[in-house]
Amino acid sequence: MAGMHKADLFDRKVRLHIYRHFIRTGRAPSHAETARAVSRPTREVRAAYRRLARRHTIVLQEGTDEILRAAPFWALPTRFHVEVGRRFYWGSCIWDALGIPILLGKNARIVTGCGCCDRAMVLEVHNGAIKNPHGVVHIAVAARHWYDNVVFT
Amino acid sequence: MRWCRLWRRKPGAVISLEQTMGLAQAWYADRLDADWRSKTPAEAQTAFASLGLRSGFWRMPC
Repeated sequence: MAGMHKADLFDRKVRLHIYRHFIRTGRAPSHAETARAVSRPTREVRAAYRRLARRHTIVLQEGTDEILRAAPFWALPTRFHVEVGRRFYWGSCIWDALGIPILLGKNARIVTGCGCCDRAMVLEVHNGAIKNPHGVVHIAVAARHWYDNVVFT
Repeated sequence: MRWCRLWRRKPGAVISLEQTMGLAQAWYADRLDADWRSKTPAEAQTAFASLGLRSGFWRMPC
């Protein structure tokens, strides 16, 4: 911690709160919720969100300072529905959907659909591995362009 | 591929589910660590290469 800038320490605290909130509720915390949790004014939290977004740690919803993505979690419904016990989450893609049980260290059931034929697909993640690893994954956008438009990516 | 036709895009990369799980492990296993930081382009490149993803498609911007 020595030598860390005060803003960096605050951003770290805010980042961890965002993840804890996603894990507990399945949704992103608003500025007000984060401000209450870290006992700081909303304007400071908004500034922290913007700094985290500039570093691609989170993605904000266009035209707002509200969270769209704290990878692997996505704040809005997607076609990558991840069930973990009695909770559920959304990932923005299969990479992130698989990342949710990894991040949580838990088993999960991922309900999605084939990007080609649109048939329903269910993947089970058990002890960090896919139980039924049949199928392939299509990544459309080259790595150097992932953040040109992260929603499309 | 229907999606590519719909969006008029080239196919990009096709990888296995095991490789995708490897990406998920590499990117998210440490995400709740207090001192987590994002991967540098060089670290990302190393992670891709360890999963056999070595083509230009996986080259990160510097």
